[in-house]
Amino acid sequence: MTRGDADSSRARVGPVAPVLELHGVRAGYGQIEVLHGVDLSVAAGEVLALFGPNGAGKTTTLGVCSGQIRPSAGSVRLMGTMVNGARPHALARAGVCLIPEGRGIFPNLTVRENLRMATYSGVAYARVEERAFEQFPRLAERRTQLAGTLSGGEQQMLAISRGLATDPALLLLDELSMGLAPMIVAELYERVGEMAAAGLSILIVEQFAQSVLGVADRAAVMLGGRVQQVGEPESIAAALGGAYLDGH
Amino acid sequence: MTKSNRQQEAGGSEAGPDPGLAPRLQEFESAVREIGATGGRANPERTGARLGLTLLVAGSLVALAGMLWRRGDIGASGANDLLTEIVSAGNGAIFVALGLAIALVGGLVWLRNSLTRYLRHWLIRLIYEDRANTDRIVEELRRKRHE
Ligand SMILES: Nc1ncnc2c1ncn2[C@@H]1O[C@H](COP(=O)(O)OP(=O)(O)O)[C@@H](O)[C@H]1O
Ligand SMILES: [Mg+2]
Repeated sequence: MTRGDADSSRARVGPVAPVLELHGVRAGYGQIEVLHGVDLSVAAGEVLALFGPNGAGKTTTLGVCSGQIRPSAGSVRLMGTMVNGARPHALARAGVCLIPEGRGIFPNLTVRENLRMATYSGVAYARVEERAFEQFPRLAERRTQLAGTLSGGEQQMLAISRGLATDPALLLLDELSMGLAPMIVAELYERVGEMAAAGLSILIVEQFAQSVLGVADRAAVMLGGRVQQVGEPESIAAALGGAYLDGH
Repeated sequence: MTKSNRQQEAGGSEAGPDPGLAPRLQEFESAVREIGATGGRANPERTGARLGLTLLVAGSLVALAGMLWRRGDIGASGANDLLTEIVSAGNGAIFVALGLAIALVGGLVWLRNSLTRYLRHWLIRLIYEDRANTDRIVEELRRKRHE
């Protein structure tokens, strides 16, 4: 064994690097800075919920994590490796999966055609379909329906199963519950809990805490482009106590 | 399964070459290393487009200078250093060629980067328009059905 080998194996002993780690991340759109130094980490197999009011910078944070927005300062690390400036497709291929806010699907394609999009990553279509329909049997009944004519919840199911077909290591979920009935949201998060149980590391972004409490291991609050507070989901939810719900 | 034992399972075992790493995470770790991110800057296309434009202008200036030089016959001399030698041998023509080459490369770099920016913008517009259109059609169909 060479010295290099010994050194590198020694370097791996000790605490495992977080799957995702943001440190002092600043980012924005053009001249406007939206994130003013975000610190955040998701450990292996952990589910972190990031709460915050509209415009806090949650979506922007996910954009940074998935490589769509480049930070102007700070570091983005995956498994301890700095990935600032990596292209979105490179990160996606490595195993970072973003389910975007609203609809991340193609409305003019059928359910089946949307699922087929996942095969670009090299997964066999039969496998994609099998997994999707096992998780969400409702999609199976609608496989030939245009995705744009599905209900909001079904569209979200489609987006999730298409994302999961690529076998990601890190899942980023942006406001899954938006515009959906509480029962549908509960069902979706039940599936998310199963994915977490299977070892997936997940960063959940939500405006309101209630829907995620059963799933999250830890929670953080984002306000004005900074993470203000991190802790137990229950205590964070209690502390929030509708703090930014005033006026609604 | 509870939240806490889920975490232990994903990151707690001490066996194997990478202590505590599930196989999928080991794969992820090496895949991420292979990306070899450079720390990249915001908006590479804009930087690229500017670089291309700069090269285009600089190349043209060099070519222009070469042409003027050739007319003025500045390079014609018996000096023995290499640069003067080259200049006088080509009679400025070499600068014209060099300048044109730089301008051409600059032009291509600029075109490539500004096209990427434009096409991305265009594609996003198309996707949004497409969605709006589907929504309209679906809405119309629903209304028809209810009538
Ligand atoms: N494409 C964009 N161009 C310019 N500003 C944007 C863009 N997207 C979001 N913003 C601004 O960035 C801020 C944070 O937005 P966002 O990250 O979407 O917040 P959240 O997801 O927490 O609601 C907002 O003030 C918003 O207006
Ligand atoms: Mg958002």
